[in-house]
Amino acid sequence: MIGRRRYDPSVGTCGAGGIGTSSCREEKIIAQIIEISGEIVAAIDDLLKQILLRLPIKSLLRFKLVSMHWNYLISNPRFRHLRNPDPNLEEFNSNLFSQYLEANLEEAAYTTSTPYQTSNTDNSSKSPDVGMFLSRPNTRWDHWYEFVPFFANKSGDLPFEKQLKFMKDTNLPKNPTDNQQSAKKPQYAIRAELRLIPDTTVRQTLHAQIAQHETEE
Amino acid sequence: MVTTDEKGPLTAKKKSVIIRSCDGDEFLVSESAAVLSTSLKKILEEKEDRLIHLSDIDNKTLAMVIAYLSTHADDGLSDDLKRSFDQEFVSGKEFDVLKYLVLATDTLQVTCLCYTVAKKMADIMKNKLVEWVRREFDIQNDYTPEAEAEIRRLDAWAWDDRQLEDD
Repeated sequence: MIGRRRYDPSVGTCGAGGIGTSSCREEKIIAQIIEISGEIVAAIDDLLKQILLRLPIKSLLRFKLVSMHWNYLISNPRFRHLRNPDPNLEEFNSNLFSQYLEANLEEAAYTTSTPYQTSNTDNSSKSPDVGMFLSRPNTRWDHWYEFVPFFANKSGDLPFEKQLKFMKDTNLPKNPTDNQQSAKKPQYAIRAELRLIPDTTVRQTLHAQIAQHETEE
Repeated sequence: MVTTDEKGPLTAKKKSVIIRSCDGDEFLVSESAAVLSTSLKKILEEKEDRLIHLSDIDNKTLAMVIAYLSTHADDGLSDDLKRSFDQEFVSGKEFDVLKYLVLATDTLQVTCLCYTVAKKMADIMKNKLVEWVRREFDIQNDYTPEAEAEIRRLDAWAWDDRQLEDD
């Protein structure tokens, strides 16, 4: 557990990780342990992460500069996920998304036309998947995950331009009151959706098109 | 020195454990308190010996940890009381003490105390300079000046030095 990084057990502590090993009663050695305790804490990633997790974001960004290892720990996606278990908080407002969806329900059903409708005998414009999605009171990220492949697969059949248009349309904010707040949200939504498209070449092309689109605007 | 715990004299029913710190001092702890620590629990399961020797935790720290454990093992106290005890437990402690305490919690595997101490450490650290952190954790700066400038440039808004302390 100890000594993963920059901790030399030969320093003379009797192994800070050991319970019930050889006895050391000399105060010198205790003083030595206390002296290097900072270094040991820094060497135990699990312990360090517990401390870093409880720091505000501003301090974390500064402490990237402490050392390369700290930078690695802080920038690590796993750490980011631990710190923000709900990605909705940071980059995606799911309530907003369900609002768009509600507003664009017919359009969505239309755009995801052929493969979906053949598989369902029900001809109503509301698809059961969408309905299930909307019926959940607090839509969370993981539910969204369940739902999105349906979008991604179906839109994957469309040519690129239409696909891009479809994605933009389904994510445009329709509610005028939310305009200021959600000015940047659709972009995130598009990107988040793009991540889920399994085909990498399709994804790359879409990214390129989005970039082109943005520069033109 | 033998410290009896607060619940009173040792009875035949209530099992106790003797924990010896690396200074050689011995603490008498009730078993219900000791099993809150995962490592101690494992040791107690494995062997019948009621004397546990901890070779790397000193007198002072062990006393603190044991005070924490016996408070949390006490069924008579409500959760609110325990929470306020946690607050008091870490308040006013120096960073050096906390560093050593968090190491002890790692060795003894007392998760909730580890979280409490980590929170306190984060509270102390959050307004400190990077140099202070390097000093406290004895970390060498392994960045090149260019890389350092790059990181400062990336999150420029976090580098408002006016409120930062360095002691």
